[in-house]
Formats: sequence, C-alpha cells, structure tokens
Amino acid sequence: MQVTLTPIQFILTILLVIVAIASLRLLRNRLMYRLVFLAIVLVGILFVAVPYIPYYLAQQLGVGRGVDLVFYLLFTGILLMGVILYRRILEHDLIITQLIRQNAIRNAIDQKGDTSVALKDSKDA
Amino acid sequence: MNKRVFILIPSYNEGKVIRQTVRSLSELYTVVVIDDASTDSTFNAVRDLPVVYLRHDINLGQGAALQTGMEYARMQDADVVVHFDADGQHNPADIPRFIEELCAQPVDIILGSRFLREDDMDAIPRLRRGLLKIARMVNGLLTGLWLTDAHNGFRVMNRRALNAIQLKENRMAHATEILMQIRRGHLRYMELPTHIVYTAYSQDKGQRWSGAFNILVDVFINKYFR
Repeated sequence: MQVTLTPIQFILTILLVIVAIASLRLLRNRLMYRLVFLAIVLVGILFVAVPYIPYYLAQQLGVGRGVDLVFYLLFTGILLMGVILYRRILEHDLIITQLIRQNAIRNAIDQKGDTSVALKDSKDA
Repeated sequence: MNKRVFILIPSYNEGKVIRQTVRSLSELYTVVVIDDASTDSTFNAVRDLPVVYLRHDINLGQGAALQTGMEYARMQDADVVVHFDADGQHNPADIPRFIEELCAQPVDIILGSRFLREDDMDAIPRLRRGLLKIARMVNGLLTGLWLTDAHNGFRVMNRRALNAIQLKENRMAHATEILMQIRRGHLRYMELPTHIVYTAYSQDKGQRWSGAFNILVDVFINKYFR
C-alpha cells in the first residue's frame, strides 16, 4: 500500500516524531513509560498517515466517525494521565513532608526544664 | 506515678495569642509548639518560655504539625500526649481531668466533646453547631465511629495510641483520619465533655463552609487514592 502524505499529515507526523524523541529523552530510566509513550505516538502517526484506520475501527466499534473514536481515546487518556500525575504529586508531598518533619525535629529548640509531671497513682495508661 | 505529659500545640500565625495559651501550661507540662512556617512573631512570642519549639520550613497544615509533634513526643518517650489548640479555645483545666480518666479507665484515647453538656453546646455559634452535626454524620459514615462531636481538636492519648496513630493527612482532614486510625488500630476510646471558648479571634481563624467541603474531599482522597 502506497501512502502519500498531504502537507498537514506531513507536519503532524513530524510533530509527533519530535514529541516521541522528546519523551524518550525525558522519561529516563522508565522503560514502561517509554514503551507506552512510543506506542501511543506510533498509533498517532498511523492514524494521521492512514485516516481509514480510525474510520474502520470506529465503524467496527459502533462509534461512527473516526474522529469521535480519537476524541474518546484522548479524553480517557487525559483522565488517566491526570490520576497518575496526581498520585505522583501525593507521593512527592509525602516525601517533602517527611523531609520538613525530620528537619524540624533535628533543629528542635528546647527551652524547657523538667519534662515530667506528677499525677495521681493509678492504672498504667 | 510520674507521667511524661507532652502538650502539642500546632501554630500557624498565632503570634498574638500563643504566649497567653502557652504560659500557664509550660509551668506544668512539656509544651511542644509546632510552628507551621508562621510569617508572624510566633517565635518571638514564646522564645523566653520553657517550651520545645519545632518549626516547619514550609506551611504543611495542622495535621502535619500534629504528626511532627507526635513523632517528637514518641522519640522523647512521652507517656501521655495532648492535642491543644493555639488560639486559646481550649481550657487548660480540662487537661488533668482528661489525664486522670485516661489513667483510670481502660481507654487509649479520650476525645473532647462539646455536645455532652448543655452549657458547652449553648456556647457553640448556631451556624457552627449545624455544620458540626453534619460533620458528625459524615465522620460516622466514613469511619464507623459515631461520636457526639466532630473535629474537636482537644484529645488526650496514651503511648499505645501515640504509636498507632500516623497522620498522612496534612491539613484539616486529619481529624477524620484520627477516627479511622482509632478504628483500624482497635484503640479503646471515650468522649468527655469539654468547654470551648469562642472568641472573635478564634472564630475569625476557624473553619468555614468552604473549608468543610475541602475536608470532605481530602478525606475521600485519603481514604481511596493513597
């Protein structure tokens, strides 16, 4: 099958390749993320170069137009990415909290005298 | 029996009132002021008082400040830990009463309640009373602990509870998180009446409706997404 790219298809393909290279460089030491990203970009290039593929898939899935299928996939993907990123933020928050806490305890300023207080003798707490 | 009692006072920009709150307590107990990156004169207000001063470099929230205080108390072999607000709302006279009950009853943690005595209840502003009743129901549904009060910051716990409670919720949702951990850790608990003094200052600094919504979202995220 011979594929001829229109100007917009050519520009989009170049942009996707640039995104792929940038993401591969950014996602150092993350093989899984790299593979997933690469797969997404390759599917993107395929969809741009051969618009019949998303159209055909959409027909098979009962979505209608190929552009609708791409929109649904993008929407779901963005939501998933949001959840993953939020989880990462929570992890970073936890690390920052622990660092600040350790620092606060290490640099405690103790201005007190005796630390115990006499209470009535009773059951151990 | 000598008990090592630590009063934990999280503080964020409470420079105007913290000296008054701390002064009477520091003569009797080990007071730990956890300054949550205040930008006011909090440190100057307590610098000549016999307290332990811990400072967060970044503002993290009341839950994080309490956890910092609890970790410090644990490292210092505290027997009893008291959560006490910096704004002067809590009554220092409640502390020995709560500690005596903690030692006398088979419980690990005692939670203050504004809904056990008529006059304590009357002291709560009407709008806040309604909000607390809703919060109490939300807490009950989320934690299974049906208490008479919600988000009362006055708590007294023993070493067992201190070891069991690990707060991950940095901001105000820590109050619900404590209840979840009481249940999860099978801690024995009870409520005792406590009187809260609502001043114009404390009401101005207190939680608002929008804050209550944020707490609910934080609790939900903490419960299902961590």
